[in-house]
Amino acid sequence: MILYDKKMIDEIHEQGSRGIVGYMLEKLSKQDHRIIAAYADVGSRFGLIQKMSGSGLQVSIAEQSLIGIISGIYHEGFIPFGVAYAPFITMRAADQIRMSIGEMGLGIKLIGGSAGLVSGNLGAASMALDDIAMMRAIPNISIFSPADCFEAAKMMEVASATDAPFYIRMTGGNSIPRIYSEDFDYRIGKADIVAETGRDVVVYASGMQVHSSIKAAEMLIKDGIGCTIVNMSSIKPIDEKMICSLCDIRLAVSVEEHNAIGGLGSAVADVLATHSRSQKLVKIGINDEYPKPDTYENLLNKYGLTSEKIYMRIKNLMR
Amino acid sequence: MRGGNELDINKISDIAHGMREDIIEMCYCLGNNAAHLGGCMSLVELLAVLYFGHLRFDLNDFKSESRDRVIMSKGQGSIAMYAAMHRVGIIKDLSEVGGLLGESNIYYKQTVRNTDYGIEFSSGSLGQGLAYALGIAWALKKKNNSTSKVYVFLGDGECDEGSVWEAASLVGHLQLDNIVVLVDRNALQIDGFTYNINRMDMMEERWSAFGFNAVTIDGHNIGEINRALSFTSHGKPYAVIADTVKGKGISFAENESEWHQNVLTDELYKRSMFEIRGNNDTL
Repeated sequence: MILYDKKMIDEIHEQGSRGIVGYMLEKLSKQDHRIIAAYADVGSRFGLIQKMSGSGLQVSIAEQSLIGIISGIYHEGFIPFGVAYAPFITMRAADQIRMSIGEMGLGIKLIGGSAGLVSGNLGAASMALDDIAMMRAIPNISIFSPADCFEAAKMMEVASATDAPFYIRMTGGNSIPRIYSEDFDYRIGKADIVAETGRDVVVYASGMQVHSSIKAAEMLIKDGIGCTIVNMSSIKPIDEKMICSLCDIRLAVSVEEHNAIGGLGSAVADVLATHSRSQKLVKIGINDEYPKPDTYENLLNKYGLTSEKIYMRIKNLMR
Repeated sequence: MRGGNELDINKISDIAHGMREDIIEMCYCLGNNAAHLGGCMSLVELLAVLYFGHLRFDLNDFKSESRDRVIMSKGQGSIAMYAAMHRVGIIKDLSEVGGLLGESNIYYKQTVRNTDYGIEFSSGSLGQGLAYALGIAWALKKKNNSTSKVYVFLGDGECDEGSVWEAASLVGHLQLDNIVVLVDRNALQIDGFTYNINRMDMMEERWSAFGFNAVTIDGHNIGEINRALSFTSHGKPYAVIADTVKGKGISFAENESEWHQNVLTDELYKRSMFEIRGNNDTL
């Protein structure tokens, strides 16, 4: 168990979406020597080479092998984390994940860096926009998408202490806005209302889009539109209870850096349909296409994923 | 249990015949469901020598730390592995294998991981076993377990998969000398002879190039297999390329790609048993 004081929480928030991985795994591995970090030529980027020397394993640019290797390491009683860029640790290694996690149910932990649009300047090859869809269909796995560095740290701690498979999807870059400033219990499958200005609209957001949605809500309230912003950081299992409790709100909106097909929005729709709730749901995401290379900012803007665009979209929907 | 270099060849030969009978019984149990008869028969001598001459295991503790790990990456060989496990006493009675199907079974046509019963890995998706073995081998060294070995069975058809070579490269780089790869080169895959599908000659050279000590042997010659498995590789992983015959021991299945997976009818069951038992009597 790690004790988080204010200084440490501040330090965590300075790490960024990649640095937090090495920062946290070092802390966790000092407490539990079974924790191993294996990485596919991303060790320097995630602070793993520097921080995990004895408990780190470089597997080269070989994400398929990475999954098999951490599975074998798990087989021998360790708690291995596999770290690579999100599109490669998921889609590239899909069959290995299918077998190791889906079929064998091994408690390996996967961390996918630079998910969503943040690597957009490199093109569609480097953007994970379909990873949630693929991972959701594989049995046994919990899928997390942290809203900030501190939530990511809490997730890694929970994942390391739970003998089950996890996929932690890191969106955003080196500088991530802060959502959580005080310690809290991270509970698997629990959503969190992070802002509540009213009950005209409920917004389900994950990753970096939690912050954009909170900012949009601040603008919407000035127009008299009250929002309930929910951080859906646990995409699987999903907080069905929370979704059902908010289904009397006239409009639901999902906001995510993922294909609008198969991601958080689809997961919310599954819950609404399964429980016969007739709430209107608008999914804001990437509309079933692979973007051409562009900056993170331009891509967020293009797909309506900035606070201004979210604000405008909801305002128009509420007319 | 590792027996060293002295091995009673006649005894192993009898065991191999018994294993072939077991394989036919298990394949026959599947009824109208096809079984991987061909790729099991090619493995028999390799498994017999390994299990009776070299493999460390504890009949009272299938999870014992000092055991050797066996990874049947070539999942189509699973039934042959059960035959070896039966003959050596890990599976007490062949009836435990059941019909190789259904919710409550332990043993299936392709292994389903179950460490309570000594099954280390789920197979069936080719090309995944070597990376898994790499993880085990690395972890064993991390635990300072310097005695256990990791034996990985690959098919030569399986070696079409790029993931085999992705893992092989890193196994060589990490110099994991506790890994022994056994390539069952029976030269057949579903669509025919491997050399017509994807050139897999120069197998020994390939493994050598990836940093392994590699040797090619007759995979049905008990003495040769025993010599190969008696070699201790220091500082390098080890690959044994075993030339074998798919369907070995059953005339209608030998070198026939249709027996990669096929149904053993009543008539063919009787015929194959007759052939195996007949062979046994001639010894």
